[in-house]
Amino acid sequence: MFFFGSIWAGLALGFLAGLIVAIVSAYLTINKPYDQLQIGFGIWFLTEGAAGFLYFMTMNTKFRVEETLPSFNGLDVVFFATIAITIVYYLVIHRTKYGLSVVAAGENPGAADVAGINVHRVRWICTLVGGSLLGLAGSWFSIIVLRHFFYNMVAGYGWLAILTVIFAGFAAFPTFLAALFFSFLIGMQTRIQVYGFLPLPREIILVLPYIFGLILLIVSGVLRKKTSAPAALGHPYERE
Amino acid sequence: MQEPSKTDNVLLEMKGITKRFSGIVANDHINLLLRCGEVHSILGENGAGKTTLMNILSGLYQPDEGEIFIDGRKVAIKSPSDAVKLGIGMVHQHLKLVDTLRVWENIIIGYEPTTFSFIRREEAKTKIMNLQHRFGLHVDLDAKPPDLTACDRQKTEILKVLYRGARILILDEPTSLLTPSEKVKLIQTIKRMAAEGICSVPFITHKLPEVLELSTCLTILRKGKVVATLNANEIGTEESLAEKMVGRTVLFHLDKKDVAAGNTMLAVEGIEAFDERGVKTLNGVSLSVNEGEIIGLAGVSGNGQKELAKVIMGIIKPSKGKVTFKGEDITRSNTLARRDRGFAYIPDDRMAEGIVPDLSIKENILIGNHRKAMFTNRWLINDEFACKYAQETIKRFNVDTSDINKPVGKLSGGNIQKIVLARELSRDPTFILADKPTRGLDVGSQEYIRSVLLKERENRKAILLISEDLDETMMLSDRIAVIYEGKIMKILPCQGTTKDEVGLLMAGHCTAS
Repeated sequence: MFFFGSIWAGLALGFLAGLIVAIVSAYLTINKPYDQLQIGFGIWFLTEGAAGFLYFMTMNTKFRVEETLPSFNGLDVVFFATIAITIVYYLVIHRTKYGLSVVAAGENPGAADVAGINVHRVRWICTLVGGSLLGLAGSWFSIIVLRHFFYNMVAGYGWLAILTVIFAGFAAFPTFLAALFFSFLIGMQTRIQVYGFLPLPREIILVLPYIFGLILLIVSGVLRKKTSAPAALGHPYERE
Repeated sequence: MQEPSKTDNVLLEMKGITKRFSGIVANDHINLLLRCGEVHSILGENGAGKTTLMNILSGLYQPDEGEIFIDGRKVAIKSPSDAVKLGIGMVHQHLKLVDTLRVWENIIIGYEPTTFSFIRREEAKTKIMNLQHRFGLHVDLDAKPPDLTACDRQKTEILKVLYRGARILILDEPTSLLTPSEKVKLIQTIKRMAAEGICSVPFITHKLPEVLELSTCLTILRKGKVVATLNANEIGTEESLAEKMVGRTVLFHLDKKDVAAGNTMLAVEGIEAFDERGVKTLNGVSLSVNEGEIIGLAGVSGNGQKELAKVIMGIIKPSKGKVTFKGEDITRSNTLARRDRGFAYIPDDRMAEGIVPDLSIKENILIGNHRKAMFTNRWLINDEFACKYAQETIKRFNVDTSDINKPVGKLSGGNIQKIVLARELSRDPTFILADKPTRGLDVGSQEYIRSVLLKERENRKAILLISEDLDETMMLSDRIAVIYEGKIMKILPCQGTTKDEVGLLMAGHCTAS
């Protein structure tokens, strides 16, 4: 981004970085039967460290992005893009043959296999799409939201994203709404800090969205009783 | 000897099929011939290689040697989609349905009618409904598999295969999850489809009555080899089939020695209980089990047997009623306390409750016994003793392996059940609760498990046998208690009682006596 002097190049690089990480992760968890949780933690530590390391290696000065994305009524294109992604995702999953393959590969890969679906290919594609979108989101957060970079800047928002999906029961539109809701909480937290509505220490205010999220998750978990996570989530598939 | 003149209607021929899995020969030069409109039973014990052979035919495995011909042409089946193209479809023993997809989506998956990748829903549904009409396979298309009965799930799988235009419909033990009345319906459907020439059916099974009822041809496998190929008129009796299948004479009528029943060991009185959905499934059950006696609890599944077993083991608490053991009230005591009193439990669902599939044989034999002093050095498990104990136990119970470190999940059904028996009976119990102990097992393993139970009876153990297999109940029990809708209809002495009498009680008819 700094090298190219364009936020678009920055976002594209973020997308690409996400894709590369997804390739590594897909190979290790799909082709090799390694535990997704372990690989996930490994990749987390590695990429978080690598991001900081590369940043300090290549740039000595602090930078600040001045350029902005095109926006309408104060909402930049990313907001509209997320709506579009949600709709496209919904249509693909529920209306197309690819959607059936994706659901089957995640719920019952054995059934997908005997239906002639290449389970590994479907999982590869899903991981790559997910990884590159995550990369895009991360670079957006740094370039557009914070307008600079510092170590550990995402502050666990990735975890909040996982929580959002679980809370929304792995469904498209509920996830979108839940994400809006959590964004609202995070926005509130900054404003509470700035305007000082609540006579609470800063540290407490900082963790409020997480505490609130945790409570919601527990409540929704109790109400739902059964998990809506795909049955084969995290299970490598191999023919016996 | 009849001339093989009907070569013109040979649909499928498998020649010299051999498949090895890491050194073990699962299929050893198997030949199989399937003619049009035939129900060709493939009979064999668990692990005889039936499923492997059919997985080869349906493209899931590649054979190491051998050739497959369809309509006289040599074919290569490299994947399940190749098999579908050749008109081969398989209904797997463990059904392959996606629980979150609707029935119609499950049927069309992989073969959807689409416009720009979007599924043409109405067209798909109409096509399925036409099939349903033609074959009389009625299932609610908008339901999801978990809401269906086992029979409807089975029908969904058959529809899936027919939707893809299969001429060869492979059924892998399709009746193992069905109730008796569902079995009858399914068998009728299969018969009709074959008779009308819609499909030819390779039918994998180890159940002899089904073979006799359905087959127009029969191949028997033992240890990966074909031991006999018989036409309908040569099939013979259950006994002769069993002998060919197991390789020795199988006793369908076990010797039951006279054992004088002793004191009452376990008694339940007026038990009422609810199942996990909150439905009252036990409605005042009373019964007692004496020393040296087998009580057979007969009934159609779902009439409260499962809950009664759980109440007796202390897994669920009854809302009303009393459980006593040797006259002592144990209604409130927990499972551990009951096991310490000498309760042994052979659960209905052996994979979920009987064993931990990923743990080794040794560990599975240890579970529940691990608290006993002889297995521990103060705080740690005495591994040396545990190994010795496991070795001796699996030898005593004829488990077909010597490697006690093997994960139990890798064993065959019969051997898994022997591990459960080994663990439960090596505790030297006083009361044994056996819930469908032979379900899904081949005749050889069934015979063994039944004989073990009879031996325990001779050792003056009190045994409660829950079974859906009326023949088994009649063969083993001293008294038969019939359960219907959470109530004991009647308790009959086994001697002098006919199967019909019990059958009527199981269906809820009170016989005048």
